[in-house]
Amino acid sequence: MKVLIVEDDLDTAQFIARGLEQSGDSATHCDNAEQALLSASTHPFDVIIFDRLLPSMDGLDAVRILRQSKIVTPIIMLTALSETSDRVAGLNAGADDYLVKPFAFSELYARLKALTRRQPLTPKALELVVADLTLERTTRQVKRADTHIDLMPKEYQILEYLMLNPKQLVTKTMLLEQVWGFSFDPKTSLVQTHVSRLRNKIDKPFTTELIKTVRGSGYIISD
Amino acid sequence: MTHMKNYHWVGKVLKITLTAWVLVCSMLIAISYLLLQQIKTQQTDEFIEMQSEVTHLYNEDGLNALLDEYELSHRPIWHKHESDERLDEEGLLFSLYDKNTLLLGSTELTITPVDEAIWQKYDSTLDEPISALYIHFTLDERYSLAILQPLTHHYIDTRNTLISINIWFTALSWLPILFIIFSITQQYAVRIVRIKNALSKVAESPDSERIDCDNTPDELNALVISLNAMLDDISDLHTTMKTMSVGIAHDLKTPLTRVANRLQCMQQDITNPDMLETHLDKASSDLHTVIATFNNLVRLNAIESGKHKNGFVELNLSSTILDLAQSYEPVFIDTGRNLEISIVDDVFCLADEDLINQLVCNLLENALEYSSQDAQVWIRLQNHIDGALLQVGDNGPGISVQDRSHVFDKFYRADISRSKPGNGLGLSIVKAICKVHRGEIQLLEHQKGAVFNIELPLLSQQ
Repeated sequence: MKVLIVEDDLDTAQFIARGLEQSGDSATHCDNAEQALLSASTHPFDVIIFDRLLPSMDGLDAVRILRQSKIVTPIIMLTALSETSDRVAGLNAGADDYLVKPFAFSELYARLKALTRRQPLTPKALELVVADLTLERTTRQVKRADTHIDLMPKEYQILEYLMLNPKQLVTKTMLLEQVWGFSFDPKTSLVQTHVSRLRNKIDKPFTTELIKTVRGSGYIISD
Repeated sequence: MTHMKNYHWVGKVLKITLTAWVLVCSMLIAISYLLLQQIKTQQTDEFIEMQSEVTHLYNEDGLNALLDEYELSHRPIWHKHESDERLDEEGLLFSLYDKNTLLLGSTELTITPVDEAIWQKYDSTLDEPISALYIHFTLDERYSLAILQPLTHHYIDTRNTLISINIWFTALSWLPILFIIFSITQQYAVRIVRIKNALSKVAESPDSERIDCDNTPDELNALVISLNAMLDDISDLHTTMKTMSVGIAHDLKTPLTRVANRLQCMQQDITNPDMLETHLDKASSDLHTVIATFNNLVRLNAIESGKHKNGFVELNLSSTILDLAQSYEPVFIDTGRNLEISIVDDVFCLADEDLINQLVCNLLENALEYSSQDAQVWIRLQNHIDGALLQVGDNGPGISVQDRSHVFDKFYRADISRSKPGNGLGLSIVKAICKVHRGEIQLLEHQKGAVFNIELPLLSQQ
C-alpha cells in the first residue's frame, strides 16, 4: 500500500509513517497542501491521509481541488473536530472517510485497509463469502455449512460490514458509525454485546471460529 | 424589561421644561405686542378725534377763530430745523395750505392730500427716523391741513420697558432650566458612580454585591435590574465553573496519575516484556478515559452552542427510539436487568437524529450504571398534550434527595469518591440536548427509582 501523508505536525506524521513501514507499506510525507496537490497528481498513491487543518490552506479546499482535477485516490481526513456537521462537510468535499484525533494507529490502519479494499471488491456484490459462511444481500439470508442462521437486524448489519472487509481489522468505532450511525461513543458494551450474540449464532455451533477479537482494537473476520 | 416604555422620564422632564420655556417666552412677546398695538390704536383714535375737533371749529367759527384758538395768528413758517425742534417739544407738527401754497406751519409735510390717517416714517435731524401718524385733509375748497403726530412718549416708554422685560426674562429663565438639568445630571452621575463601585466589587467576587435599586421606573433602574440579572447569571456560571474545574481536575488527575505510575513501573520492569505489555495496556486505557472526558466536554459545548439546529429534520421519534432500545435490550439482559420497551407508533418531532440517539443512549447508560443488579428498567414514548413524552426509568435504588437538584450539573456525581467509571457529563449532555430541542427534562419525585420525563414539543410548536 502506497500512502501519502499530508500532515503539518511532524510527530503525528512520523507516528503514522513508522506504523505503516512496520506493516510493510510505504509512506510519503508532505507538510503543506501545495506540495501535497503536486505529489498526488504526479505519483500514483493507493490512499491519501489528509489533515484537516493545514497552515496555508484548509484541508477541505485541498480535497475539493484534488477531486476537481479528477484524482480519485481514496482520501481519509484527520481532524481535531468531531462534530457530525464537520464530518459531513469532509465527506461532501470528496473525502471517503473521516477520523478524529487522537486515534489509535490500529484504528487508522483498519480504515486505510477498508478504503483500499473497497475498490477491487464491488460494494454492490450480491453475495459475500468467508470460508463456509455466506451472506445473500438481496434476501438477507445467512448460511453456514448449509445451515440457515437467523440474525437480528443489528447482528446482520455487523456481519455484513465485517464480510465486506474480510481479513481486515474492523474497529468498534467503525461499527458504531456504520451500523448505528453514531458520531459519539456510548460508554458501555453495546458493540461487544451484539458481536458476542452474533458469534453465538455463527461461530459457537461450528468447529472453526471466523470472527476473531483483536484485543483493545476490534474484530477481524477470516477463515 | 416589560415596562421599559415608561423609562424615559428624564427626557420627558427636559422636554416639558424646554417647551414650557418656549411657550412662556412666546406668550410674553405676544402680550407685549398686543399691548403696544393697543396703545397705537388709542393714539389713532385720539388723532382722528383731534381732526374732527379742528374741522368742527373751522366750520363753526372760520379760519381766524381757529388760528386764534391755537395762537397762530402770526402765521409762522417752520423750516426743517424748526420743524424738528417743534416736533420734539410739542409732539405735533402741522401745515395749513391755501390751495397749494403753504399758509403757515412746517415746510416739511407733503402737499398731496392723504384722506385717512396713516403711519409713516419721518426723518428728523434730532433723532432717529420716527414712526408718526399723518393726515392731510381739506377744510373746504380753499384750505387744507396736514398734521403729523409721532408715537407718544407713553408708547415708547412702554415699548422700552417691555423689551427689557423680555430680554431679562429670556436671559434669567435659563438659570432655573440649567439648574434642573444640572441636578438631574448630578443625580445620574451619583447613581452611575454607585453602579460602577458595585461592579468593581463584583469583579473581585461575583457573589458579593448587588446594586441597590428603588422603584422609580427610569432608564437607570432598568439598567440596574438587567445588571443584577446578569450578575446572577454570572455568579451561577462562576459556581458552575468552580464545580467544573474541580470535576475536570478530579476526572483527569486520577487517570493521569495512573499513567504516570505505569510509566514508572515500565522503567522498573524494562527487561520484562510481559509486564511491559500489561503496563502499556493499562496506561493506554487510562489515557482513553481522559480523551473520552475531553470529547464529551467538546461535544457538550457544541450541543450548547446550538449549531445542530441547522440540521433538524422531521424525525420519526418512534422508529429511532425503538431501534435504539432494541439494540440495548441484550445489553440489559446480559447484565441481569430487564428493559421494557413500550413505544407508540409515529410520534414525530423536529430533531437531530444523532442527538436524539445520544439522548436515549445516555439515559439508558445511566440506568445501566446506577440501577440495582436485577432492576426493571423501562423506556416509554407516547404523544402528550402538546408534545412527545419520553420516559426512561428504573425501580431502584433511585437518587437521594440532596443529589436530586444536582444530577444535571456538569461533573456532578452522586458518588463523591468518583470510584465508578464515567465522567458526570452524561446527564448534562442529556439536558443540553433537551434544551436545544426546546424540550423539558424532569426527574420525577416520590419514585422508587430514578425516573426521567422528557417532553419534546411536536412539529407544529417548533
